Amino acid sequence: MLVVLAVILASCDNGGSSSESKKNDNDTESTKATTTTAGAQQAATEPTGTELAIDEYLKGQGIEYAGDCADAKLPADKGKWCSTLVSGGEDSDTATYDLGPVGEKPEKRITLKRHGDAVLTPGYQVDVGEGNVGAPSQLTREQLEANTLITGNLLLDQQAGIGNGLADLPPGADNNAGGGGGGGGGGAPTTTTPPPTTTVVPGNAQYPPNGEITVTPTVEVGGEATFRGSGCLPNEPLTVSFDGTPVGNITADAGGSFAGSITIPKGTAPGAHLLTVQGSACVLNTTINVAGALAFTGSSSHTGTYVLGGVAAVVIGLVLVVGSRRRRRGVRGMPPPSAA
Amino acid sequence: MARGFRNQSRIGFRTLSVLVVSFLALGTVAITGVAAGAADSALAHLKITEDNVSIKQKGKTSFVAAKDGMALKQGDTIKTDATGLAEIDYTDGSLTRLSNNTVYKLTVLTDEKGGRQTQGTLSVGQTWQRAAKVSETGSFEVKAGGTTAAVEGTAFVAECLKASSGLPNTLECTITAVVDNIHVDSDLWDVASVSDTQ
Repeated sequence: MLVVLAVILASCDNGGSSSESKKNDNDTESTKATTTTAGAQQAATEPTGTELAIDEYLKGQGIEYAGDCADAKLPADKGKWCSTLVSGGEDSDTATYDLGPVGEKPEKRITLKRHGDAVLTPGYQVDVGEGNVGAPSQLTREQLEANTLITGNLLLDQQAGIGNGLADLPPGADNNAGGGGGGGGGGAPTTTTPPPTTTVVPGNAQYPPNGEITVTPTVEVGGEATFRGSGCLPNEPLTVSFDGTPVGNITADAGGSFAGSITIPKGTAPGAHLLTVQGSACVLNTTINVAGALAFTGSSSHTGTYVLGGVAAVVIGLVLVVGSRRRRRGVRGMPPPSAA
Repeated sequence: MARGFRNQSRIGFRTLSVLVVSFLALGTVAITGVAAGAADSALAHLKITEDNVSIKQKGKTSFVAAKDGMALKQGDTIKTDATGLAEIDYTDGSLTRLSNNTVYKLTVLTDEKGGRQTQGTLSVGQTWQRAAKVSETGSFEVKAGGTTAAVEGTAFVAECLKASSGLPNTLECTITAVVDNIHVDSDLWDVASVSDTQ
């Protein structure tokens, strides 16, 4: 009974997980099928990558493509052509295949070349669309700093213990270069003029458009929120306040920019809280969201249930054993039946 | 003699009881461990940073509200709305952050051949990718705009936003390398040469 109980407990989630992993395997297989095989069974699957190119070439010749010769079957694929990889492949930029009727010697050798490719070094960007790869262009330091998707996520990564935050921001091209032109390594670091001060819109500063202060948007109680901004006077002493209460001082750099971090005090209520950086010429506000509970981060949320179930099963087992022993003692203690 | 037999019977019963309890305890602990391990077998989990985030699970036809911490598997599609923000945390330490109005599908998520294979497809929106160091047999790729961006220990951005031309259903996609190099390969192939075999 206990074993049954434990098995039921296990199968409740196991059913999901083990079958999920099995499904994953199946999914992988089906994904592979679209890229490496064809044949009768995968006839309905749209070819991709090199197979698409071969398929289109053969269609142009009035021939139907059966996919990889290793998977093509007779008589189902009779009359169709199949392909055998000779060199290269999907992992390289060229691929050579032998082509021929299924079950016969190959008649053609076809070499395919990738439609386009690029290697981007940090700070470079490329436009892509419908399989076309544009010419890489280097972003300027100004563009990189203004890209809150990049700066915000570098800060979030740093908070998560990954990377070096804004120190990982690529140097970028000279601002005068206008971000054009590919090739070459990363440009030398350039000094930039801080953008003009604009009104800071209070609210969630995850990726603020044109914001002067960025901050880690969501932090646990006791966690560290990193902020960064500009628009103050050069080398100006600044006061950092949390919900109006001063919590520390920092100093702006020669360009009036600043950066720092604060630890969210224990006992802080979950929700939005105001972070203020104030100097003699600047008052910058933004909002930090304080999360109420730690996020679930990977281990099973059902483990506790299983352990509890296991302990319960052991306790029930002990109770049953003790109970049966007592019952046995009771039977043994009864007076013997009197003889007739 | 009858007493000796009874004592022997009692000892036997005790021994049997201890064995049964031990067996059950060990069995339960083992099953518990296996079950917990199986529950942990998910290779990625979803973190909802800001509502609203929805998910279309593999084999389903519609999106439903996603839950913070839920396990993700290959074939799942995550969608954020105008206010939604989400993060996919992979168990190898990699992560994908989805900005607002983003649709991202986990097209490959396996642990085959001793290496983690992760591939996502960005339909629309903005994503931040931070790949953990991948093994020689592993890969971390993002498909966008008919190309595949492959990385090694790298942070990068993939964006597919509405075209500035204003043409309906037209997206402009960009890949931006931030930390380390990115290889961007077209998913299309051209015929370079054809010859007769000998």
